[in-house]
Amino acid sequence: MDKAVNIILLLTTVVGMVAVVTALAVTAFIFWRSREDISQVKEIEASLAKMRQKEEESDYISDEIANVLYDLYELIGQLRAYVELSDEGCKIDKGLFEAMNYRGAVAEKHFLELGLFSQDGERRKSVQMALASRYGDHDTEKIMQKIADGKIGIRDKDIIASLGQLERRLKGNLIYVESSSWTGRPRGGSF
Amino acid sequence: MFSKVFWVDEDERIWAPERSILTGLGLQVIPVGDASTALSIISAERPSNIRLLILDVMLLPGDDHAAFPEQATNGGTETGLILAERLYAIDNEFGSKILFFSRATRPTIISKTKSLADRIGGFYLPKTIETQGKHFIKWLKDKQLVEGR
Repeated sequence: MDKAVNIILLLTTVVGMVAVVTALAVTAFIFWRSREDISQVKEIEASLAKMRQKEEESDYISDEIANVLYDLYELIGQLRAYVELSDEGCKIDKGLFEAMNYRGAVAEKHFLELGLFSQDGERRKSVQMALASRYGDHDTEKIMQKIADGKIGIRDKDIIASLGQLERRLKGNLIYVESSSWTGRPRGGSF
Repeated sequence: MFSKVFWVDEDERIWAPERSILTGLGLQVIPVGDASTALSIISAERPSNIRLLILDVMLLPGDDHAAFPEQATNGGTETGLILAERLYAIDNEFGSKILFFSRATRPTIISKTKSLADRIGGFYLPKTIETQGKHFIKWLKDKQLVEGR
């Protein structure tokens, strides 16, 4: 009788030990798997954040391209008006020449703002300085701030100094070119 | 003659040559993007201070849904006509300043536009290649809207 009890006890102990080891192994696997999953989720989150950043950057670049195209269309329209008015023997008001000069400066500003996203570091540095000293306006300030915050584009160390210069100039009301970012859709945005 | 020209068109950057022709003739072109904004800005002006009101016919109504309801504007295709009616009701003198400048091709809309232009003493000019550039200048001179200098 005692022998039978001992055998049962031994078997129970062995089964129990096997169960414990199995449970430990399963727990260890779940733990490892969870860590792997967490790390993959983090990777996906980082990829999504990068994609959102790129998407915002693409929106901005396409808006700027639309702006440049509209500027060129406006300049062509003004030139055509000049030719047609001259052909018709009309006296041309100085307002048209002022409008052409203004549009030329706005086109320059939009070209320079596109340059903020250039892959060439020297080009980026050059446009940052040009925008800070003359062509940048309040729209430029917003986008340069986003770049300086690392939200879009490539964050150069020089952009902080250029942004500071632009902010001081705008606060001092030294604005040479001011244009709204109307880009084709009545409610904003491009196209 | 006063030099203000209001150009009511949702796409304020189009028709650059014609806008620039007006600027080159010494006129001040003020772009307005929708009918509600146009009604509020233009109704605050004296008609005698305005040279021309250029209205698109197919036009965005803007935020004033009471003044420009969906049904009356025929889904936006006749918003410019409703705007003209409202301005004319405010002051008949606005009527003779209105130029419907539209690329509408549906015969019913063209007929309605012409008939409204006749009734209020305004003008209608289809947006085509024949009304651009020098043709536009000649038209302005013919209607004595600009000096023939």
